Amino acid sequence: MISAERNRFCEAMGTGFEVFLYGEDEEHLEAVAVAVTEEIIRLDGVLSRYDPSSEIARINREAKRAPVQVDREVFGLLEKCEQARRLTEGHFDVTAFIGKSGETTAVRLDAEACTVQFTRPDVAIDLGGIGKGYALDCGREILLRFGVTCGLLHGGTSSVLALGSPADDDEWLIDVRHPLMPDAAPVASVKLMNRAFSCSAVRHPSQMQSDIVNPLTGEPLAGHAACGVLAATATDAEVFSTALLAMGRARATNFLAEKLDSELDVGWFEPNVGFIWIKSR
Amino acid sequence: MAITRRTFLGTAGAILTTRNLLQADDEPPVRVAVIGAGGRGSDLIRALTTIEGVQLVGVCDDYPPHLEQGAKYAGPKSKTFADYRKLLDDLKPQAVVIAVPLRLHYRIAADCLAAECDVFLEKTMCYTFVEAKKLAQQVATSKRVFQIGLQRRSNAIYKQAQAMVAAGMIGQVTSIKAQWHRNNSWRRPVPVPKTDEHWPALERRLNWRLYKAYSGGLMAELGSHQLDVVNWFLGTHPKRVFASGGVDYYRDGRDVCDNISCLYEYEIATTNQRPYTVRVSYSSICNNAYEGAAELIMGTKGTLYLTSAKGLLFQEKGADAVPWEGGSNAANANAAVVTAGKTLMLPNDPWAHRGTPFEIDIADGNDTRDQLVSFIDHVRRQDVRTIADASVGLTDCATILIANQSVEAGGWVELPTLS
Repeated sequence: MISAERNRFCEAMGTGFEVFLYGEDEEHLEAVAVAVTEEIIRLDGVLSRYDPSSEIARINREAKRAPVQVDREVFGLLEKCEQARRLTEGHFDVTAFIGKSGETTAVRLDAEACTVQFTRPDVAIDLGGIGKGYALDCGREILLRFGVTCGLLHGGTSSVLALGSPADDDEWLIDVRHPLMPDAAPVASVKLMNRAFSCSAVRHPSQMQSDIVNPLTGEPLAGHAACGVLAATATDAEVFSTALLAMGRARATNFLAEKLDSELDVGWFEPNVGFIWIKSR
Repeated sequence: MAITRRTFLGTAGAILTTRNLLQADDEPPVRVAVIGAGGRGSDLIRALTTIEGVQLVGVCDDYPPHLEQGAKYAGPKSKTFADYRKLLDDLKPQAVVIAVPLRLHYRIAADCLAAECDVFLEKTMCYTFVEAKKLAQQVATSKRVFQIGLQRRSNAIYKQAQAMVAAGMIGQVTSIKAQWHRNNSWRRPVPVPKTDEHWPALERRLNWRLYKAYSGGLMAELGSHQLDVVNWFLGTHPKRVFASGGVDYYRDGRDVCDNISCLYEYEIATTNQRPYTVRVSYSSICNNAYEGAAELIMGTKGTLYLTSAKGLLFQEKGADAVPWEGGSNAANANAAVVTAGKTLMLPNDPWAHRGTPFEIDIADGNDTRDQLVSFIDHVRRQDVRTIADASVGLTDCATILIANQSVEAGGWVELPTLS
């Protein structure tokens, strides 16, 4: 029974996050919504490479000289990034933004000591391709811990996570905007329940070139494609939408068919093709 | 003195780095335990696990979900306890970090000192002034290393700003305005619904900040940081305070103020004339976030605007900088005011008189972590002169408690004798 609703907004990770919660007790929903936005802001303070007080900034300053001891949360996330790098054959790489990262990783993780070290001096980490998704997953944990079973969280409208179902429908309906013509009709609609959806586009209309770098070539992505991924977690949705876009449609389609055993649904958009599902459950 | 970027950097204190300063290779780690693993305790646990030479031997919390969370961050080698006395008996840690509800500060810190531990105690030092005074005496007689979690003392921006004030760069400080304004209920969620029989007890436990029986309210949780900055920058303690506050917006059962406004008077000694008074206005509210959390240090030559992440210096403009007679190219955009036969051109921008600020170069570092790096360094060297010792903590504690007393009693409340 839904009789109360609370929304909150916060700025983090260079974008805006919104939290929409539904339930019966408005005071409770308010407290949970605040807890979620405070968690997102906390994670921004840990993960942003632009914030000199963040853990990632500390790693980027110090890990080229010696192993840097990090907390278990940051270590766990960096391990997740390394797993994703291997799984996507190098197409997801948190060090790619500074150029070609090659076949092997330049980030050496020591689980026993909980340290991270760069193997080369010209390395830095940017968690832009995973941070928002991770923050949304942490937000979901808070909702579940405090018994909120219906809600929607999004980061910058590019990653969205939905719990339960809205009052008037079975599933949340998410429209996918045309990446180059924001005012045009949506190119697709996605139904979402207890899953996450994340979109990556090569570039937005205001950008001269893509801010996504192909880790294998070190070049910014070209063309006008966009990739949307439905996954169990927002972290996975965000990682795969970035990595598959970097692969390009042909390789991504092949990769999904032959290499990846997962529950992803993957949509692909190109201006002359429109929106097509290249993998669905 | 002309202010340049170089001047700022030149007066800045050195930042500690753990690797160089803390630990020689053959030194054993410092064995640290954390008591209290809620929100703040978890921040401290995470920070401690990033500091080389720290062995986090144990975590204690009597609320199982928080203990579980703390244990997750602390790692499998760290033991868990529901009772801090058992932790002290079993582990005999060298240092203890305490982040528990204010009401429990004195008892737990006193027990840790009695167990011969060095102590890092979250602000505010104690629930009552009598407790804080007793604890300060115990620290002095035990000769343990003791630090209060007033982390602005570790923040590069505040250290720089304090040096600038001490060097006279903003002239004579005549007035300070500080506030911590937010727009949320300050209420933590409870994991069971209101209909559950356990809700009332859990609500009190998790929302201890909202109840006077455990908490000093907004002054103790937020104001203590900012009034410590005031005490630090002015180099003294307040003489008295007048405060007004109430539960006016969030009438949800809480009994600590959801808004409070204070006027402090500081008496500043001078060498060649009678003492002068610096008035400090402080407020904290929970239903408008426009002004955020900041301190404005106002001097005769300039103003410092300070937050944990940004520090700005606005120089006062002299009379010769007033744009008389429409000399500006932007004359058309300006409003003309006829005054005493002259045309005074006023810019449309209401903040133009402030000019462009100089920004304090932000140094690398995180004040929550850096205060612990400093504490561990002092523990290692058994140096009791920590960045926020018992004397700093006692002054800060008295400063915020008299504001709460003023709200209760009405009227001015004098600071009690500290020594």
